[in-house]
Amino acid sequence: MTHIVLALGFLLVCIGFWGLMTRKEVFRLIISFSLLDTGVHVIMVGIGYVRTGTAPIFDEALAVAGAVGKVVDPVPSALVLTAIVIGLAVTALMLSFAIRLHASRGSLAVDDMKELKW
Amino acid sequence: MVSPLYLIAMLLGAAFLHPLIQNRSKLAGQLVVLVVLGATVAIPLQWLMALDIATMQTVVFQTAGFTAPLSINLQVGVEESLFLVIINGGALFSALYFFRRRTREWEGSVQILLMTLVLGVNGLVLGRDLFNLFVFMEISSLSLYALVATTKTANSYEAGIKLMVAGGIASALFLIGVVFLYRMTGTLNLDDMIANKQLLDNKAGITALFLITASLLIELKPFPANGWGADVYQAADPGVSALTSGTSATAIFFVLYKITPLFGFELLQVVAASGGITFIFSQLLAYKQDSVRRMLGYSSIGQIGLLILVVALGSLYGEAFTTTMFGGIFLLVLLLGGNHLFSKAGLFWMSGITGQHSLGTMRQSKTVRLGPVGAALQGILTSALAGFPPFPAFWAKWIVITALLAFGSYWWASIILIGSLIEAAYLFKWFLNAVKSPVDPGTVHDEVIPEDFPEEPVKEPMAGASPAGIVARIARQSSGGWIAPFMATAVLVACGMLLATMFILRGRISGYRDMVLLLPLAVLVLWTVFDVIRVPFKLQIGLAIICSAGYGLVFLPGLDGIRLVFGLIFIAGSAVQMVPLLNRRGHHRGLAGMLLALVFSLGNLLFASSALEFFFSWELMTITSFFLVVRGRQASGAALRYLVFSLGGAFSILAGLFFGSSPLAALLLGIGFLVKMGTLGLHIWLPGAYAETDDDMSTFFSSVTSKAGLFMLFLLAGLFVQEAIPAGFAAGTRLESLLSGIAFTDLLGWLGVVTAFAGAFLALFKEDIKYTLAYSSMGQVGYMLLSFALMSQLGWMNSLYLAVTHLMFKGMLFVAISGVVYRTKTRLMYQMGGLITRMPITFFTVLIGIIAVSGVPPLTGFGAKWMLYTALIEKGWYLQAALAMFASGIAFLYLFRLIHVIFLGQLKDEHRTVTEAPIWMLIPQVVGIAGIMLYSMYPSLLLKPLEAAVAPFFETTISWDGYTVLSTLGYWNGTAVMYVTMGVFLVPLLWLLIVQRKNTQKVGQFNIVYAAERPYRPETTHFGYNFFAPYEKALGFLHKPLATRFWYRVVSVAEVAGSMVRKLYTGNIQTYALWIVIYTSILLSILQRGM
Amino acid sequence: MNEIMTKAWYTLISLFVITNYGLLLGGTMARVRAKVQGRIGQPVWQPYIDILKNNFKRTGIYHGVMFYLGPVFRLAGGLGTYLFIPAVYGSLVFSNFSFSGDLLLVMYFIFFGQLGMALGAGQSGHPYSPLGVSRGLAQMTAFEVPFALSVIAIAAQYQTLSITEIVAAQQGGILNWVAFTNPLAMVAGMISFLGMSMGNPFSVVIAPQEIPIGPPTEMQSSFLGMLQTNRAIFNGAKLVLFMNLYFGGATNIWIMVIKTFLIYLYTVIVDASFPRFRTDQSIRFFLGTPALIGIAAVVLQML
Repeated sequence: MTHIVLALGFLLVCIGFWGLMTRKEVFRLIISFSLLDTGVHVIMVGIGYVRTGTAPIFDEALAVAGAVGKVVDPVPSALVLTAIVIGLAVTALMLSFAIRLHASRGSLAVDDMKELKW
Repeated sequence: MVSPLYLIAMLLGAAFLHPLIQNRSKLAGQLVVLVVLGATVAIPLQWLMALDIATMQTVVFQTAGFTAPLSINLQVGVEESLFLVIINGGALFSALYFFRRRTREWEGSVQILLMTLVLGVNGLVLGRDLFNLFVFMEISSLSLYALVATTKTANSYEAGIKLMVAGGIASALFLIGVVFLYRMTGTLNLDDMIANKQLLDNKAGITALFLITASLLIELKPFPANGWGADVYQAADPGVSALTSGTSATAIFFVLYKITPLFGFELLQVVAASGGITFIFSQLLAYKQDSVRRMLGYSSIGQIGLLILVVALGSLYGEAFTTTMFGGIFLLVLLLGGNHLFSKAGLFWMSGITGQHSLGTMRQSKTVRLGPVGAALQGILTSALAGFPPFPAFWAKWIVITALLAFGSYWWASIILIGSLIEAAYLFKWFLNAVKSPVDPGTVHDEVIPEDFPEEPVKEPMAGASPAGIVARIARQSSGGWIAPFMATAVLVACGMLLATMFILRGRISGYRDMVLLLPLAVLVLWTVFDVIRVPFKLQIGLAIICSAGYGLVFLPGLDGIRLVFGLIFIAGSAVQMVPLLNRRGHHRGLAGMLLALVFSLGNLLFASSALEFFFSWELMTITSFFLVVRGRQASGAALRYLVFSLGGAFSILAGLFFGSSPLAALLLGIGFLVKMGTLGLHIWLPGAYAETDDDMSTFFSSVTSKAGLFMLFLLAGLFVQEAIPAGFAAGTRLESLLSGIAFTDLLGWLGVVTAFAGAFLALFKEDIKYTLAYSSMGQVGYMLLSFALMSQLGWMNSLYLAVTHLMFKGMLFVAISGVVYRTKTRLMYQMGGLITRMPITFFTVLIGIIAVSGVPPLTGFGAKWMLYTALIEKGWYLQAALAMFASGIAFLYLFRLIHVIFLGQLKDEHRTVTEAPIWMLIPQVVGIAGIMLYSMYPSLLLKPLEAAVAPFFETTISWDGYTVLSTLGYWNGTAVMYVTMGVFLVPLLWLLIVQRKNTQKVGQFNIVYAAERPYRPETTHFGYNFFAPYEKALGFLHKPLATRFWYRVVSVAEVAGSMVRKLYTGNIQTYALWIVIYTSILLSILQRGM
Repeated sequence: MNEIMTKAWYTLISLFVITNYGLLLGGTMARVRAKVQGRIGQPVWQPYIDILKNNFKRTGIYHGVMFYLGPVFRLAGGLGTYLFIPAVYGSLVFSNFSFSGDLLLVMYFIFFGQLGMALGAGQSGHPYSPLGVSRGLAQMTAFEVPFALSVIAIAAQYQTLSITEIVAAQQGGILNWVAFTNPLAMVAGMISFLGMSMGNPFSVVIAPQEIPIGPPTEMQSSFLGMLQTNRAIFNGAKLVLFMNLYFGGATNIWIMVIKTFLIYLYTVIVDASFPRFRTDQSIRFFLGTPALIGIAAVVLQML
């Protein structure tokens, strides 16, 4: 199961990166970027998962003593949550930049973004 | 101790509350920002006071009532506190910059972003939890992304998107790396991870670490994956660039520094390589830039690369670094990082204030010329960034190079030095472009003919000298945002002074003598104060003369031998030559202080007791003299060349200091000293620097500073006696027998005599009087070098004799000529003529001067010739002797030309009302004449002390018989020669006076026998232009500028490299992303191969 | 005091002899030259007449202090050069002031008069004066090269720079002369002597046949007289110097007369036989073969 998740994550990352490399328009770049980000999040979850574990919530089924061996480690999930939030913020900012860029230059084509170079 | 949580809470709270306050009062909002940022500086300062600095104490603060693994912990230590002080200080100054500079854009949102940025940055420094570091990194990055777009131009959005894509890839790498690390170690806490380092000592662990490292490196813009970084610097507001380069990059660098304990050998090597490559290529790229901001951007990238290199090397060669200094690698990082943060931020602000976007080529003069305050600020910031003393980078440079060479890491040392040299070149090019006079084309390295330069436009009058005027001026200047670079400069200067005191005194203050090395700094400070409170220039110079005299009286008596001789040259010679400056009118800010600091740093060469002290004084001399050359009207091109050559020479010396007494040390040190002396091949900076300096200043360069190199040669003479080719080179071949036995002194001897020849020969064809004298100085220094290289009693005596007499006669000549130029307003000799009647005293000085230079008896010059040839023949250097004689014949030619074309021949109409030079210029001339006459009459007065000075080094070959000095070959009685000459001169004179007592009359200018025609125009009758045409025709092929061509070739190689490399930066966001991937993959594959 | 008086007398005698000898030599050579050209030529005592005439001219003009002092410098240079050379080996009367310095002093004192004269002429404001000076100095630097090499070779050969000792080393037979012990040095030195005497083919610096150029252009009356006096003394001094360096010196005044006459005759013969070089040609000439001969002489001493 974790292998499938990991493979899926890597696939997403690859798709995202492929998009980033080949698409010629800023919005598509942003979408690709989101895909890449999601792929990373999936990988993180995949790595953190313990096959036979249970949810890390203390109740009747899970005593405090000996809990470490039974539960799925909660930390990666927490990390992913945070990362998703941050990724959202970045995506939002990127989108706003794209809008502003379109407003001021009238184009979102990647090939038009060449004023700054060398 | 204040809990670091308050720091974070305060920033966060202020950021949230800011809109509310802003709505009430804009000023209150701004004040809140300033207060909060001020507190972010104050709190770490408070920590520093509470912590034990000597043991590098650290205190860990837990949060939420749990201990480390379960909660976030923040570590406060000496390292963190110091870094926060500088990082937050930079942010505070940035706020001041925005506050004063961009009132319109300085809106609430920007202020909030600034505070969140600082928040993120503080978290980065304090955090010990890897994932928290990620969060803080994202907070600061997000703030930065938004800040970049504050200029609201299409370019800034474009740069912002590029930045975000790169940042996004970096974050992805970081996240994956963190999760892998967590999986392997079961913790996110850095301290736990370091404690369980062995868990990561496998392929997967190193790869995971690599992912994190690569992410941090990418954030720090490594070559070649850094095009987006340069774009951001170019597009963003300079204030934001200052934050990017200073605050944000320094904090991310600190994270890298924090995790280095986890790194293994392979990873450290990869990191070091990345840093080093980034450093050198960024400098090459910056050198080619036309946009000031992009240039500064590349410079920042390069400097951060240097920091990375230093950290990695520091961990690799730990012991080499830690043994050299207290604090070891950390101190180094702090010095370099802090120096870069403040100086680079200051320069970014300066570029914002002046609004200078394009550097322009040096040829165009479309620049805004900086005023004195601006020039001073930019000069200091540039010097600090270039690593001149006393600024922090200087000490860091010293430690790094010392440690690297001690460890035998020669390649890294040379990369750092070459990169620093390129960096200094472009930074000072920008500085010169900003301060040069509008009439300066920036390319003057040789005489300009036939047009004379146009008049300089009249300066606008400055505000009054009243306190109110000063306040008004400061207020006006600070309104443009000057306050921020001013603060940065102040911090750098203060730290520099502190460090200088620390490093130079090293805690020992046994008496006032230990303070002598710091005097130049004190002088600079004091005379700057004089400038601020508007002490009249004449008074400043008067004080400078008194101070030099005092320095001489206090310190010189402690010396003896060769040191005393040079001490007198440096100090007494300079004091006398400062007198002509009293002739100047008006204010000359910084001149007197720089000059006195130069004199003192020269003098301090005599007192330096360690390599560091010597190098400190040497570099101080370089930078102060550079700032004096800059003042010339057309001097910017020459000044740049002077700086680059001097600095290159200084780096060569720096490297040479660590090779003990091997041939390599002799070579490197020798090159450094020879650059200062301007020997052939290394001389191309010399004519421009000597000639384009202000007329009354040239004399210092020619007659005083050029001897610093000679002094050092004397001091380290033992090095140069050894064979130049190390034993075992080309062993067994015929080459070996050919090359063995060639000592450095043999090479120096030939170099000296060829320089003497070249100097004289080049002087021959100059129409510009100052270039004639400049090349003449070069030739004279060649004689000194030749005599030194003889390594015999007579040779050394002659070298010192020449040094002393050259001071007198070349000083006289330069001062006399500056008087002539001052009166006639031209430097081209053929435009003068017949001035003997107008300036008789000056003529007499020049007459004495040229007789002394040319070596015609009975004046002092002959003594030098006699000793030189005697010593050369004694040594068996016959061919050198013949070439030296040829050179001295040629010297005779240009000297005759000099005096004839200026003072004899036809007086020009426009010079009929010229008067004698001002009294202040005559005083040194009279002193010089008196000295020359005295030593001509009684050469033993000079020879006997010199004999005593060199006595400890060689067996005696000369003896005395009354006034006659006897060598193994011949003899010379200067006093008798003087009497005979006076006799044979007076007898014909009396005869002539008797014969012509009645019937002789003086006739007018045009009353000459002139081919049945009566000339009426001085210009057509004065023979002065192209005076030695036959010589040109016969031997002109010899003065091709081969050396200049060679150095141009060297520069063009660097430029071509820069142009080729910058093609990588296409401006395409996808190319940039691809480079990031390629960069990461290459690093990873290198790492894999290493494992 | 007595010593000084004696020295003064000796000096006067020495100067008297060299002046008259120089003047007569000049007159004789002018006649020789005339004979070669098929003229009768001037009387041998013509130089005396010229000097007296010029000194007793009723009028004279000058252009300024330096102009006035120029001839003084020139004559002082001539006198000094002579006085620093021991004219006759072993003679107290003709040892002059050679105790003041060695060969290097003499070589450099030659410049003293030239410089002063050039400056004096420069103040006249006449463009031809510096023109001649420019050519003359340029040529001088060139012929100094073989001469310097030759002198160095001799100094290396005898390990001394003292003229007296160089002469002493050549005593004891004609084969001891430098001319035979070090022929390359002699050849180089004697070629540069041609340049020093400014006869053909190196005469463009004074261009005697056309418009006069060089320092004497504006000189007249007693100024010119002084220059003519100097020419005699200076010529004598140079001849004596070359005799001392290459031809064994002289142990009495008659040998000196014979040797210097022959040396001078050599320059006159060359002068009469050759056309003229341009300045740049003579520079290249001296830096060519003669310099190579000089280098060869020096290298031989190094081996």
